[in-house]
Amino acid sequence: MPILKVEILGSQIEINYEVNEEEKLASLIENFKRRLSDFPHSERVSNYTIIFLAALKAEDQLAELKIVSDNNKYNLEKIDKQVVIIEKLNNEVVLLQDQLKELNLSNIYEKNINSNAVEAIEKLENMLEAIQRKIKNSIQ
Amino acid sequence: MSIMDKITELETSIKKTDVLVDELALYLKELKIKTRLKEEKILKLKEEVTINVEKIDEIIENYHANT
Repeated sequence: MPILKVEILGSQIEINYEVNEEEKLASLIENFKRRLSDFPHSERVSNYTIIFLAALKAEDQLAELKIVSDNNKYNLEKIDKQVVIIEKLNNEVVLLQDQLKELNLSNIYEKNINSNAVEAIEKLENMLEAIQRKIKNSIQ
Repeated sequence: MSIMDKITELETSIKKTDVLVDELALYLKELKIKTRLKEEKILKLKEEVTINVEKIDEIIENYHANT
């Protein structure tokens, strides 16, 4: 297992790492160095204090991230529930669309019947008029 | 009963009525012909009666003339 030598606040530290995690480790060390650089070095403040303050800041950020994570978890649960509701609504929409199709077909059928009925009634009216003419002609 | 069934029933009824009207019209036509023939016959009889009455009058007149 390779070893990475790092200098932090004047101290040499050796870290064992997996080969495939070299980049990740380097990135973490750079981040930590930037974090430490947020705290000014002076003879009155010890290295331990700087590391403690950096760790404290990291804890604070972790706590905030946890809140964000909890919120995300809550939102995800909410989204899952909404997905279920949306699926139900989608099913209902499909059902309603099917019913609408059936109603449209039924409506077309009824319209055809009505149209046929109107034609048949007109034919009956013509027959009745012909009968009336026959009666009038026979009386004259 | 659907509307088309009712219309079909009505059509059947109208067709029956049509046949009945044809029969009645034919019967009426026959009646008119019979009536016309009877009227002609009555006119003819009236003419005959008039002629006969004239003949009778003439006979009576001759009878009175001879007595």
